[in-house]
Amino acid sequence: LVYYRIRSRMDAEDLTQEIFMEMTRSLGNLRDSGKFKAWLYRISLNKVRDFKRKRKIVSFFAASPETQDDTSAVDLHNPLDQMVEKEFWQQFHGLIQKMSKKEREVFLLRYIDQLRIREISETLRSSESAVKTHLYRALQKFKGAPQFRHLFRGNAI
Amino acid sequence: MRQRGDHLTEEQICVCVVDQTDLAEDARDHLLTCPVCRDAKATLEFDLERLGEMARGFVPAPTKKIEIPLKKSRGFGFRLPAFAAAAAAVLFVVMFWGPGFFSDGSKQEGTNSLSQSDSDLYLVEDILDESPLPDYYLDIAVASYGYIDDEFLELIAPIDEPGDTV
Repeated sequence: LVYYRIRSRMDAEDLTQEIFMEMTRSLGNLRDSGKFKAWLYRISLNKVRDFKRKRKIVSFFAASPETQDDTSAVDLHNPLDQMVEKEFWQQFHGLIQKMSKKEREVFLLRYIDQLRIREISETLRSSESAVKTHLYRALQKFKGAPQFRHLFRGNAI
Repeated sequence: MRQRGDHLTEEQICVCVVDQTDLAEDARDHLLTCPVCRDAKATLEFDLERLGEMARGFVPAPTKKIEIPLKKSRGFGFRLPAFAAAAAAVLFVVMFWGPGFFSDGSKQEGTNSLSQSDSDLYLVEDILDESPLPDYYLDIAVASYGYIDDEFLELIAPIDEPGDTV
């Protein structure tokens, strides 16, 4: 969840630590244990939002670009895998940048984090119909990026 | 009314991928019978699934352990790790240091070394007792003068005993 959104492994690890600390601190405030997943995602999204805000402020004053590391998830000795991975993330972020903030959020929660519509609406505290509307629009933008779809369709075995 | 041959629009395909129940009834009926539209829907679903799989697969593995701080509690559960750690420490001491402290091995060894030094000391004492000085020094020592016997000493320093004088 965190890594797709901030694109830095080190920061993602620190942020995940913070999220779990926040979770243990606020666990007493959780009234309905059935909504734990949505509650945890809400904490995570808030933390990511705060982090992005801070990073934006820091980068504004430091006049340096946003930090992104090139840490690879695949075998470092296989240049082809590295290339595919790099290409994937470039296309991925290119795609989600075309979406509005809301569209991007619901799209990531639905298709990357695999939350249900109801869970997304609980996480974002918005109605299910609003979530669906954002999803339709996000899907239309996704369908409008055939070069991206070819990238992973070519890798499908 | 949908006519035969009219396929679902791109927008309708997106709608049915998100939630099929949101489609109008005639569109739903069409989807059930039209292989082209079903294929379009399946393709989009596959692409989305593949996207998720790849995104999750390309996330680098965490390098550090996520630590969740534990709240202090008074229950036994909180103390259990401390007890376990203490027991492990005691076991460690017993295993590595125990024989030195708890068995008679070292004590016996100490006693042996003590008795050895004692016997050495006794041997030296015996030697000195038998011949207090080396032969070299015996010539100048009093003991070496054989002529100074009791008779000579009596001559030099007589002992007056009461019974001698009558």
